[in-house]
Amino acid sequence: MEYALQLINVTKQYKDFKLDNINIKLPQGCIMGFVGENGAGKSTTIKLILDLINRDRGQITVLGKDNKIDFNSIKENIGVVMDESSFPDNLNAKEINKFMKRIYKTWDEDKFFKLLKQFSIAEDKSIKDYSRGMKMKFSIAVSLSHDSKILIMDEATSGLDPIVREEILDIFLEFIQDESNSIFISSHIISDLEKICDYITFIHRGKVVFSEPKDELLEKYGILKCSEKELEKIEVSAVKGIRKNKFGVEALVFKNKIKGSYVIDKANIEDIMLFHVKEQVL
Amino acid sequence: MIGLIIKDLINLKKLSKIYLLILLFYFIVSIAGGNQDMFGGMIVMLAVMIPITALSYDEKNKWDRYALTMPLMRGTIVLSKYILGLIFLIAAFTLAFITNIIFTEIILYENLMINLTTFSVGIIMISFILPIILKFGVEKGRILMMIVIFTPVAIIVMLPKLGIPAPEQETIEMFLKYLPVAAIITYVLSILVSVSIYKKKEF
Repeated sequence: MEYALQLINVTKQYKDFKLDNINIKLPQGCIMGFVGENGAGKSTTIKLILDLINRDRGQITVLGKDNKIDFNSIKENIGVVMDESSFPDNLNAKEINKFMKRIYKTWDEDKFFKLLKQFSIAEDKSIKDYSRGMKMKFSIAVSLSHDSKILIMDEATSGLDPIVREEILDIFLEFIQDESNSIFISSHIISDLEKICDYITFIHRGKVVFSEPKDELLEKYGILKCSEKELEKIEVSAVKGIRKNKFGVEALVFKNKIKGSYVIDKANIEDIMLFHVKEQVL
Repeated sequence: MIGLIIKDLINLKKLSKIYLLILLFYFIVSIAGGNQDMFGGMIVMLAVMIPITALSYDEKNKWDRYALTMPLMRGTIVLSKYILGLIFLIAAFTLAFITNIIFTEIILYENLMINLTTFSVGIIMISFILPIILKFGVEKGRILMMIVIFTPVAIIVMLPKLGIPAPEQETIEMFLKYLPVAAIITYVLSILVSVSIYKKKEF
């Protein structure tokens, strides 16, 4: 299978934080959600992918190219949206167009202005006067106005209202219609990712806890609510995580390993994440 | 490369009114005072400030980390600032040279030598300042920048007090003749240093 993005054993050591042996594979044509709490290592990973910081170990390929060897040859095909706008903030969209078309060979002026219109962004208003949502939409417009085959986004939907988020998610789904396009998006808003992603990668304290197709995750896990005594009867290997409350226990379980007549509820991504973390704490 | 320079020019355009005012002010002061060299010196200083200002804008906007995701080499990003500085220094040189011809009776050779000297000083200043700013950032770099600029001045002022005699007129003239060559070499070396600093930088 062709991978749009691949991280193999990537490690980066800081004084007080270590990104430990990260392995991620994003197949072409898919959307991968990259989730984790604040400080889990999401931004660090994205910076490593974009070669903004140096890794200590491992290999990263984007669209099949090693990002330490000939990264520049594929940058036309990478659209990036950072967690905050990085444009010269006293310029307006028209002025930004003027120099962006000299930077990207594949810059598509018509598409850029069309997207701005679609997002209702004023062309001659300075970036610094934009709202946060407008800045985000502007960054996304830029990332789509050259020959992007992969979008790499850091918290692109965080801090936006539900209507704008919905709008942005629609744009992503439109982008992914072309099967050679892929998206790698980090967020801590799980519900957004659950809506659009094919793959979910969960990073926690610098380690990848899981990186799997979303449907498989949802299929594999279920939530079992029972008493503590009942839980003891269940095979340990069938239980991924436990949460106790005054009515009994809730457990994240592998559905196929549970035998007998238990009521198993559906688990959503957020449940799966939380139970995985719980287990690590215990 | 051109894209980056256009970006800086558009960005700086917002300051152009202030720059023009300062220019006009010094022009009038120097004409009134009959001291043309001051005008020449001042516009070179303004030109030196241009790449620094452009860098401080970039830093404020966190532009670099974003620019690095574009089809731009790290070296190109650095080089664009040096070219920007060069463009404005050449403009400053030309402006001072022409105003001298129009408003003074200075002979052509002297006009050329004076302005080549200030131009060279500008080149050398940028050569020292840019690597410092790229390494330490505009905020911290500013303080170091002052040290770099004022140390040579202080040394020159201190020399006679230390009993070291001022050099002969001839020596100075020789020195000034080779200064532009030395300046260009410094500039090239500075670019190499800056590129190697920038290549190691993490954003």
